[in-house]
Amino acid sequence: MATKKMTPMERMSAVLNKRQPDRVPFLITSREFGIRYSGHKHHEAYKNPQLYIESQLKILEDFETDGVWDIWCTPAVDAALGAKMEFPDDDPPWIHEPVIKERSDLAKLKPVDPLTNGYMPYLLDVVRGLKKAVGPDVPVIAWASPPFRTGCMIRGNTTLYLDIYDDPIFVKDLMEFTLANCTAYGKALIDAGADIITTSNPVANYECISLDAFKEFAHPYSVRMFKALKAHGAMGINFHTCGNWDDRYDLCVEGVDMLHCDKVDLADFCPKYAKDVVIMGNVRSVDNVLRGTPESVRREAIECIKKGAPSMRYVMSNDCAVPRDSNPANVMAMRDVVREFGDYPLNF
Amino acid sequence: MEIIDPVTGKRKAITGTPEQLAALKHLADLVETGKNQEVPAAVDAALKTGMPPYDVLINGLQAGLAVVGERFKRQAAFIPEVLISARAMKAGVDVLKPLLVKANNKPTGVCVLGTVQGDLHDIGQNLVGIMLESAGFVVHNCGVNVRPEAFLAKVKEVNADLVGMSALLATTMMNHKTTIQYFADNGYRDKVRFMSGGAPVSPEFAQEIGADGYASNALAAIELAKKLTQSGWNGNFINGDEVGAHMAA
Repeated sequence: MATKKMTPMERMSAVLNKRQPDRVPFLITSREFGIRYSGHKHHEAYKNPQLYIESQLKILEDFETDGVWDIWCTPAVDAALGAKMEFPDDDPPWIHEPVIKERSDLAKLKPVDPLTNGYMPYLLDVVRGLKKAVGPDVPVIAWASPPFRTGCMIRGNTTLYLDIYDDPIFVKDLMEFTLANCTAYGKALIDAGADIITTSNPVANYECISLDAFKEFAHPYSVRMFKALKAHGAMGINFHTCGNWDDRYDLCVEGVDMLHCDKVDLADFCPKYAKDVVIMGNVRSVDNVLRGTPESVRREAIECIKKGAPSMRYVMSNDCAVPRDSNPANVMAMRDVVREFGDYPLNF
Repeated sequence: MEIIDPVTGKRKAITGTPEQLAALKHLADLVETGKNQEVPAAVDAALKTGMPPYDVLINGLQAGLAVVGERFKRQAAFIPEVLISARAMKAGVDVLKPLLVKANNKPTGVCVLGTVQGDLHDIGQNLVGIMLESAGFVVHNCGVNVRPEAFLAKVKEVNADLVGMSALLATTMMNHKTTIQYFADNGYRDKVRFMSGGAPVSPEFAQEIGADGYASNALAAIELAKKLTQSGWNGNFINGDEVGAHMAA
C-alpha cells in the first residue's frame, strides 16, 4: 500500500464530503467476526466491554480498516422497552418475545432512558471505550435501530404486518413512539463518542412490504430520526439496505450519507447514486467471504473496486456483516485489494 | 368460470350451478382481499349450495389465495397482503376442517417446521407455516433453537413426511446439515423430505448438504412442499423458486 497520507477519519470525511481521498476506504461490519478473530464467544462481548473493544482494535490493526464498530445490531431499545432479549452462546442476541401483545399495551410503555435502562448503558460504555482507544483519527460507527424495525421487534413482525391493514392508526402511533425512543438512543450514542450512526431495516425492504406501505409506515419516520441525529452532531448516517430494495433506493438516500448496499451491481448503482451518497459494498459475505477462497474473494473485490472507486464516493466492504466463521485470509484478500488498487489517482 | 389452479398455478375452468360459481367467486374474493371475518359465513353459504367441502376449499379458498400468490410472484403483493389473505383462508379452513376429516379428505401432507439449533429467528418460518396450513398441510411448528433430536422426535410423534428447516445466520445454517445427518444416523433420512431455507441459505448450499429442496420465500415453500409430497417425485433436488418461476426473496 502507498504511504498513508490520510488518517481514517480524514479519509472517511473526504468521501462523505465529496473530496478525493488518498485511497478507497475499507470498512467491514466486523462484530461477530472480530469477536471470533480475537478468540472469544459472542456472549462474552456483553459481559466485558474491554474484551469487545480489543477485538475491534485488533481488526483495525490487522485489516487496516477505516473505522471501528460498536456491538452492531443489538436490539437495545427494544429490550429496554420490555422485550425479552435472548443471548445465544456464540451468536448475536435477538428479541424472541414481543412486548406489545395487545394494541392497548402501547399506552403502558414508558420512554427509555439510554443512560439507565437495560443494556444501553453498557453499549454506551463500549462506544466511550472505543472512542477513547482510537481517538479523533478513527471513526467510531454505532448502530441505532430505525423506528419501523423496533416496532416490528416489540409488536412481532407478523402481527405488525397485519396491523398495517387492521389498524394503520395504531401503527403510526407505534412509529411515533419508537421514533422518539430510537432517536433518544441514537443521540446518546453520539454523545458517547459515535461519529457515524449506522442503521438497517430488513423488515421494510422490497421483499417484505409494498412501496406504499414503506412510504407510509417506515420511511418518513426513519428520515425524521436521521435528520435529528445529523442535527445532534453525527458525522454521517450509514443505511445498510439489507436484501432487495430495488423499487425504493430513490427514497433510501433521503437523510443518509452512506448506503451499505447488498444486492446491487455497483456498475449501475454507483453512477446513479454516488452524487447523493457514499456507496459501501458489496463483496458477498456468505457465498464468497464465508464459503469462498482468498482467490475468489480477491476476484470479486477487484471487480467491486473497479466499479465503485471511479466515483470517489465508494467504500470497499461486504454486502452484509462478515460471518463469524469466515477465514481471516479471505477478509485479508479484500484488504490486499485495497492496498494494491485503492490509491487515488486510480491505476487499475 | 376460471380460477388459478392452486396446484399448477395455471388458469383452469371450473363448473357448477350459477349459484355455486357465484358462491365460490365471492369466497375467493373475500380471501383475496383479506376479509377474514366474512369468510365463515361465506363458507357456510357455499356449502349450502351442495358443493363438497373439498371443492369449497380448493375452488374457493385456495383459489383466492392463488390470486394473491400470483401477484406476489410479480411483486405486486407483499408479505402483509399474503398474511391477510392467509388469515382469511384459515378462517374458512377452520370451518371446513371437521367436514374434511369426516369426508376422509386427507391433508396434503404433514410438515414439521423449525428454526435450527442455535438460531432464534422465526419470522420466515412462521409465515411458511401459515402458508402451508392454508395449502392444506398439517403443520407442527417446533419454534426456534430446535435440536436435531427434537426434530426427529416430533416427526415420529406426528408421522410427518416433510421437515422444513430455517436459519437466519451464516453460523446456524450449518445445523441444517447436522439435522439431516442426525436423521440419517438414526435410520430416518429416507422417511421424510427436507426443505431448507433462510436468508443465508442458497439453493447450492441446500443441495450440497443433502436437503431435498430449497425455497427463498413462503410461497415458493408451498410449491416445494407440494412437489415433495407428490407420489411422482423422482428424488431430484427441487429449487422451489423455480417452480412456477417464483421471485427469489
